[in-house]
Amino acid sequence: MKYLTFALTKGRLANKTLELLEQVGIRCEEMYTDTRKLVFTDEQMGVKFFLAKATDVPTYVEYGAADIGVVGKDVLMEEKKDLFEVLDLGFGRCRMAVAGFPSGRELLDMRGDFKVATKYPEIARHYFLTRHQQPEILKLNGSIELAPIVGLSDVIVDIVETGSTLKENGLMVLDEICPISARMVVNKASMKIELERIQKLTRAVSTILKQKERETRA
Amino acid sequence: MKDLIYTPYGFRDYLFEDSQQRMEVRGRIHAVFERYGYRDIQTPVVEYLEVFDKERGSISPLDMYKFVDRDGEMLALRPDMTPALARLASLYFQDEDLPCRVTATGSTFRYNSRYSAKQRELSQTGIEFFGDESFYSDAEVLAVAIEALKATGLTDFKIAVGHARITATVLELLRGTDQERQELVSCLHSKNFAAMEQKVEEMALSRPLRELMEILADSGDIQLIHRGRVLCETEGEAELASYFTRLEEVHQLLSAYGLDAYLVYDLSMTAELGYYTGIVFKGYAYGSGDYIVDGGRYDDLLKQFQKDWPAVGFGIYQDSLMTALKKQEVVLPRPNFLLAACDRAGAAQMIPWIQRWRERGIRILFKPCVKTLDHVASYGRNHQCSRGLFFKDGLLIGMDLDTEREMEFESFAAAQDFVSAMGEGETR
Repeated sequence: MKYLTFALTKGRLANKTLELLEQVGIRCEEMYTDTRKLVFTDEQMGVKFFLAKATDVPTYVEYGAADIGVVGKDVLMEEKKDLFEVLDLGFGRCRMAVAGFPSGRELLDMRGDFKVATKYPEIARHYFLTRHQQPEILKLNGSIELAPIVGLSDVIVDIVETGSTLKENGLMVLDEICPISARMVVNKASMKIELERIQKLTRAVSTILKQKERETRA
Repeated sequence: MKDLIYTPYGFRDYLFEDSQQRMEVRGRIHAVFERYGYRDIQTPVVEYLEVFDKERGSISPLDMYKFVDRDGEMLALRPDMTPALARLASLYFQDEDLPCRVTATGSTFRYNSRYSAKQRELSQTGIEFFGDESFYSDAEVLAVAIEALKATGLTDFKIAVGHARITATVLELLRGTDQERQELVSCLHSKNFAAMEQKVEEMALSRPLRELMEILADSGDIQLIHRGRVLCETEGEAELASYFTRLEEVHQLLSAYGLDAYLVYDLSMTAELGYYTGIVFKGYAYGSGDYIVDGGRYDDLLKQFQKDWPAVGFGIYQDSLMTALKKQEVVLPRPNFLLAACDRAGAAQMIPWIQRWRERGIRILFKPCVKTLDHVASYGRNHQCSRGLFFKDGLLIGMDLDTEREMEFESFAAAQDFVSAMGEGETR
């Protein structure tokens, strides 16, 4: 049997994904034992797992090195890869937002020139284009909140979970761009070649997700 | 100054083995095309830009290599074979020539290509069937695509089949704003069922429409198409039902060809090229993340060339296909050579024999002025030779380069069998 290969985003998302997959009967024993391995295989289930940096997951899936991936919507929006985004897994929830000092709000509404620091230049560019604005966009790789504080940029575009980091530094959310959560993505060729296995999996996961949603509502 | 030994970004060299394998695969595919009566044509690499006009549904001008010639004409390197082949057909064929089957192979050029590690020069080989609008030609073209892939040695592949008009027609049935429809389409294309269900709920679609949307988003075997057809018939949607019926008819013929096992249906499949009007299909193989075949029916494309001829065809993307073949561990034969070597004095005696053998189809690499048998062995191995024949000081020695077994021959005539064996086991 051919393996069904999963690319998971390192960290919290991976753990949540493994929990969810276990509920539909997919479990990779190896993942809980030998920590030095890069690829984990479960012969019985015919599955392989590997962990990758979030921004790399869509690439692994687009090229078919993984059949299935789990990654945040933020990364998918930024990377714009050609793949099927089949399920919203509901965890890893946060928001993509514009943030800055309270004074930044005025700036946002003005036609004038301003600077935006972000890890997501594509998302930022697209968002401001819909507002008919073309600010200068600076790509940073971490600690985005720092940029307005030290005067590198006027505002930032970043993911916000609780907003407490912003608050502690006198920053606030100025506008919400969109909600973010973890998504299951599938390679387009795998969807055809391994149709039955993948369909079975996505249907089972979908059922579990609906169940959960009903429980939280009740 | 740039280092001139490198190729420009997106273009690459193919060395012996890669190049030979590509030729071999192309040859096998071509043999299948010929077996179905498709005849070779060639079009230039450069065409007028308008031939690939975006409004007529070719690729975005941004992705084309375009330039102005001395007379101020806008030209493009062909990004896609089909419009050029349609142009040729319109120019040279008359109504009485129809239906007409053609095949062409060549490079296409695109910026930001999605295929095969973002190469910008893509080798394509394909067929076009002009002048027949029936499901018979749909089925034949699909059968040729499947047989061509099989002939390359590929085993694990599927052809995903859809219909260019179904999604568009269903969308017309939906009440809702353009924005809502747009969102629904993007759910369909990303196969995001959960989001689609939510949208469907928000738009308060009727039960049959919901079921139809589910069928569009799904993938599956011919049962999916039966379900769609029955649903459209009971709802009195004759036009939609006819599209489903068409797919059923094609499927039935593919069963007659014995090839229906390779088909899988996906009605929301996006056609990259907007000129398709009927059946659309893409070939996917284990080992290539990208599709390797892209085709469909384009009954309106020839109108721009003043011909109202229906047409259906496909192209095989050779680069993606080679990736899949490698991943599926398909072993392709490669030619082997005989290394005929001699010392400074032996050439005049050896050449007539070499020529005689070459005439009989033996592949022979001639190397004069060789001093040692060791050199014959090492040079031969580096140059894809499986046997060596060394003529030195009037002595003729044969050597199997794999086993290093040596043997002596009394004369060139006596080496006949040793040389002929090359012809039989010409590949390894």
